[in-house]
Amino acid sequence: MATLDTLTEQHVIALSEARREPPWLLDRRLEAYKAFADLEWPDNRVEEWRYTDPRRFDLTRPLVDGGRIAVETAAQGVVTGDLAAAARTHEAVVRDALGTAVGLERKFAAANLAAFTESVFIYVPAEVELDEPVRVSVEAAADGAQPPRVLVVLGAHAKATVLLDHVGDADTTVIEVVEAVVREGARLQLVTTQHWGSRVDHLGAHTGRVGANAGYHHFEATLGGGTVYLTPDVELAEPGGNAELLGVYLTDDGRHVEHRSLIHHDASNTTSDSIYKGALQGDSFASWYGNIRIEPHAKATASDETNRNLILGSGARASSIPFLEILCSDVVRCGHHSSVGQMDELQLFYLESRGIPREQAVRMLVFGFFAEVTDRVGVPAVADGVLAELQRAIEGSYA
Amino acid sequence: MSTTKAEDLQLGSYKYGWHDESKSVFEPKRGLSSDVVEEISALKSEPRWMRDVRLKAFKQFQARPMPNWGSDLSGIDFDEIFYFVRSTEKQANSWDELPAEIKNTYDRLGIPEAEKQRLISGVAAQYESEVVYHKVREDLEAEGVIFLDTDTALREHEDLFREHFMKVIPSNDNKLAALNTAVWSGGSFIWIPEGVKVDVPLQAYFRINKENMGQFERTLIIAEPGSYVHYVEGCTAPIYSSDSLHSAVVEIIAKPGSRVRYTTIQNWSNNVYNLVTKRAAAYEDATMEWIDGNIGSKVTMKYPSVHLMGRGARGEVLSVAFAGDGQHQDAGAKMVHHASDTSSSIVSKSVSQGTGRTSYRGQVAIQEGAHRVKNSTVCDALLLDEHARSDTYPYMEIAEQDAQISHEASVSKIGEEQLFYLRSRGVEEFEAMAMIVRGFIEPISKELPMEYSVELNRLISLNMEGSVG
Repeated sequence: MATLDTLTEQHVIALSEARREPPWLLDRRLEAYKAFADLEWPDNRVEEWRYTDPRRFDLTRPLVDGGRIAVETAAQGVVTGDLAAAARTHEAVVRDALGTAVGLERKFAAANLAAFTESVFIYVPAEVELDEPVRVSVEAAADGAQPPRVLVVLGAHAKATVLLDHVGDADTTVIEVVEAVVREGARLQLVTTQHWGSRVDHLGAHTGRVGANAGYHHFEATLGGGTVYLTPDVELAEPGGNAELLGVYLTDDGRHVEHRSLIHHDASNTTSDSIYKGALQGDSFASWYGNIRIEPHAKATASDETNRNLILGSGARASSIPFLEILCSDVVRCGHHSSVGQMDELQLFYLESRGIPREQAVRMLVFGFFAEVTDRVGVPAVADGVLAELQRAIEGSYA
Repeated sequence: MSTTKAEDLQLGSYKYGWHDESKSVFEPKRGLSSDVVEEISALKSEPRWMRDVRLKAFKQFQARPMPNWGSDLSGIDFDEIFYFVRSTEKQANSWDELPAEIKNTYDRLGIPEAEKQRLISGVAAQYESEVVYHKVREDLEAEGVIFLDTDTALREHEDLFREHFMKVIPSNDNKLAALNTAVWSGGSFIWIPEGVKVDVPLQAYFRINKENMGQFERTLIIAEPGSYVHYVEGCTAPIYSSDSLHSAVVEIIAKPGSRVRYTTIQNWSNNVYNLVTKRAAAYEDATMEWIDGNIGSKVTMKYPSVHLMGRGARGEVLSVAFAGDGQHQDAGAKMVHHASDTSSSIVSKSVSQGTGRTSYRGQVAIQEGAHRVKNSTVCDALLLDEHARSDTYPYMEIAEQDAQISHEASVSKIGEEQLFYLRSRGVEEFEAMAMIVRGFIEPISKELPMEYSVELNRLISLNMEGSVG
């Protein structure tokens, strides 16, 4: 049975043929395979993998196939389906967008393009505004490795919300790529939740490529999984683009979570705002890295990034690494803020002195801590659900 | 604005760019081999153990790769460098005893004047590889303070020296620390006896004169319990067409309850690679403060560190960097908390002008078992020109739950409104910019002794000359 670490060209050709993919898509896969074969496997001596040993992702597991990714929506005017089919029915759209947000520079991403079978394509044509979200679910139901791939394309001035949920508790290595291509003036809200069981290891590359005056809002809630390594990146490629990256994460015993985000200001008048908050419990590790890079020609940009960590358990370790690379002096504002601390005993004491039981006081403080992020998510049902889950998980261990 | 013009003016404004005719008493050779290392050791008539330390460090230097992060160091040609240049036979006790060219240099730098006015408690002047002038105030000597050049200290206080040497920075710490350990020469050795508080700073002045010179001073400061010392160093070099290397190692041991403040105003010319390892160990209730001003050099990579080893220890870094055309100041700080109830703070202010690049690179690490640790870091950057660059690379690694760590950074350009306001009050544009920059770095310059604060402001104004127009 095929595995990602022993992927061959024959395997790539076979899976493309089995899906009756057009020749151009096979060519893309072979190009990706070549990049994959040429790249070294990263190890933890390289900066990107300093805090997470890539060997945590077991690639000797057999590739599983079939029925682990689903898409549904009640909205009108949106095209949904699988990428192999879309490569035939919407060739121009797929061709222009596939691989433009997540390239072939990283070995894992190249492996995904070469070998993905489970995939979702979501296309919102120009000027179409969806009144209902599109829901995607990725499931880890069978032991093995899976490289799911999602491509979201919003035509000019389109508007949509995509909810992406991750569930399941098999012994699975998930090597995921989510690409969002947001054309001129369009607005995409991508809300992703990770509800994995502890046996799932998740390596995910989520990148938004933002067109002129377009908006990309990415929220993620990392609530489960064993080892989780997510790269929520954004490419502000055209003037006037705006990005908002939001995230919450929660760790407990035995879990290892890393978020690594690059906000790339590659055009003038682009703006970005990022805030990630995490709570760490038990014997766990969480690392957050954020880099804002402003290219010399990207004038009049504004950006801000924040990372806050609440350490709740002894044995929990955190690292927080907020980078700035400013190659253009014409910035409107640019800054970052980072902190690591505990629940404030003074605030707890204050609440308790007002007759609020400790358990409820803890709940209030956790609520306040995370609500700053979840309040900014435009899908109240998801935001409230995530907040409730966070509160439940933390109360149990802290109160 | 014309870039060429600005460049011309900038070079012109580096006031220490002259050089004396190089006269050395020992014929210097380019390049490095174990023979050169042995020769340096032999010329200094060192004990055998030091020669062995040097030879071992030389092997470590050869085995280690060049750092591939930070700045571009590919311009350094280790074979072109002079590793040891002796400029005078004998260390002088009074300025008048120095050879005329060297005395002239220090006169122009204003050092003897400062000593005369007793603005400093002691002074060491290093010219090329060795300290050529040394003087410490009589009353301090009477109290037992040792302030010597490092070569003399090894001869006269071998046991004290050996007990502390390489204890904070092992020779194999990094490639350049290994190089320094192999070829070190000069630097200051300071020992402050228990309870002695030196009220006025001790000063060292480092000057590179020769082209392609490598200066590798080694400084070791030991503050016994309850003592206090403030050490100030300044550095300059002439402008040459090919590059020089300055690679110092500074080790500081702040014993329980002591306080050490170490101030550097680095103003090397724009052809000096300045790659320096500075680290302090602070024990129980000790305070270590680094005040680090980087104005000159082509490339600086320097991250003064404090290892907080004992309960209640405190570390502080105040860092100012100014990068003009073609310069890269890769500066920062490291705070490693090994013990509980330790605290640290880092304040970094950087200014980039022309094509200059400033990077703040820092690390705050809380080791397992270090409880109730606090750190606060603030990095602000100011960009004066369109092509200037600023980076911030902080690492925070926390292994204990009860730490309180915060980091704030901001990057801004010089405000049009601020400029307009000042100009509408009749302030010339250049002076207005300089005022804004002075205000920006004020939280750090106010920590300096008054004459250094004035000097820092003046240096920055000089470097900014020609940047407006």
